[in-house]
Amino acid sequence: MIGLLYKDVIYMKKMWKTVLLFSVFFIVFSFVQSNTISAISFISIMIGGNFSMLPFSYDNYSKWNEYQYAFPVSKKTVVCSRYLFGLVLFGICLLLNVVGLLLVQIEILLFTRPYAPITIQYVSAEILPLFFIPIMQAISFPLMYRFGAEKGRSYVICAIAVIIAIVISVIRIWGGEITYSSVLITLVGVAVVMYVLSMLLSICIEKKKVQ
Amino acid sequence: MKNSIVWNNAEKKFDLFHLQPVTMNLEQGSIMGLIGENGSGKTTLIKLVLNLISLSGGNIEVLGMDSVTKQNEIKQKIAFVPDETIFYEMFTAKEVNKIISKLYVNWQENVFFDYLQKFEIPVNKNIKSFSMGMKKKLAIACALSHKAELLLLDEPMNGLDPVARQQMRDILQEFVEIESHSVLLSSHITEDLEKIADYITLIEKGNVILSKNKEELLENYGVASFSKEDLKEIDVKDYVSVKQYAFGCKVLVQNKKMFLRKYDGAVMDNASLEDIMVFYHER
Repeated sequence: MIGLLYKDVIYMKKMWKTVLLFSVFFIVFSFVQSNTISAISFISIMIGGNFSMLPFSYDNYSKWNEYQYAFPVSKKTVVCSRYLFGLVLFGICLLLNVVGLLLVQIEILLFTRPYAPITIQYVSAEILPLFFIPIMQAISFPLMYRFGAEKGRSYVICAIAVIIAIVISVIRIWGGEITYSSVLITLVGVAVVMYVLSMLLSICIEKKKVQ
Repeated sequence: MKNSIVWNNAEKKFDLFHLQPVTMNLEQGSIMGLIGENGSGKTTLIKLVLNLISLSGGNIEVLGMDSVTKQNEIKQKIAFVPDETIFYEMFTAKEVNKIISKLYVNWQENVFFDYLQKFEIPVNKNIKSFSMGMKKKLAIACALSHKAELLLLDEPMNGLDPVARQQMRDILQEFVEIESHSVLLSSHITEDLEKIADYITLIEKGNVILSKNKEELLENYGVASFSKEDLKEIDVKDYVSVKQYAFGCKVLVQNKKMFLRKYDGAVMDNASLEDIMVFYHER
């Protein structure tokens, strides 16, 4: 599994210049604009969600898909390594956000008066959106395995749009008070459950592929 | 003599293609060459050994193990070189080492880098900048660096210049010097197989037409030349197929000595593997 994980990580490393350019632009933009790190959260979600799908396309392009099972790897290992890669990306994005958050605080402390202490709400508002990364991966990976990189991508966009619409509708219908703790528990819980179920589903899809 | 691969009525049915049941074996310490036109089933036969595609019937034993139930154990002991590069073109040979070394239990990093040096493959350059020959050599270096006992090569000579082909032939011959090692390779370049293969298997439209010792094959098969009038006197059972030319015709015969005894005075040439392949296709 480590070899396959290496493959995806090395690939991402190769893409790093693009990611960095993309990130630096948004970070600088956000600092100039409002001293917030909302842009960093946004970039993280984009990187973690979209870039995790890129190896699927490249596997297809390079014919790795066709011959990977000539190596001593099982279908379960191949799928699990891709999900592990997804988690690595999520971890990197989380780290990027925490660093960003600290940098913003230092900047406020040094140059902006009066200094407002960090609150749980503030941290939650910046970190919580990141849990959309594993949720996006949980939605996209089985679709990529089932329909391939090109078709899968279109289905992913549709699926995410439908899910967002459902979530917004549920919140509107419910109408109750939404606390940070309830959002935190719900989001983290949903992300974990969806990730595990998605991985099991992907293994099932990969095993059933007709050869 | 032990067998590296045993095909027992192994077959594969696709919507538009059927590899008919194959029963044959590859002995340890030998090289088997698969010949046949494009789409005849050579790659399918190799993919079945690797379990890259599922069997529709029969079974295959690889290194004494079932190709389906023991595939992970088998794949640690075999190596496959496809006819196209499968590594991301943005990777370097050094990065390929990093990836592959984690997949094989017996990976020998020093052997891999020795091969890279021998093949003059740059370690830190992107595969994208490699020539076809260099890509093939990189794949071969990977295949030879984890103590594989069986090599499966799909068109390994494709795109290689004569020097590189000679180098490849030397490597394969050196590989089978160890008694437990064997090679199964497909190639359109029958000239290379004439030089290195011990056994030849001819596949035609999903049928294994023949699988024989190469020396026997080249010793027995022949191409006889006739005028069109003389051909009428030849029994159709005595030749495989006929090729007509403007001033005469040629037939492929399975046993040139018997043929010459029966048709005294016939002009007979030795048949090359290419002749055998082409005449069987004409059948």
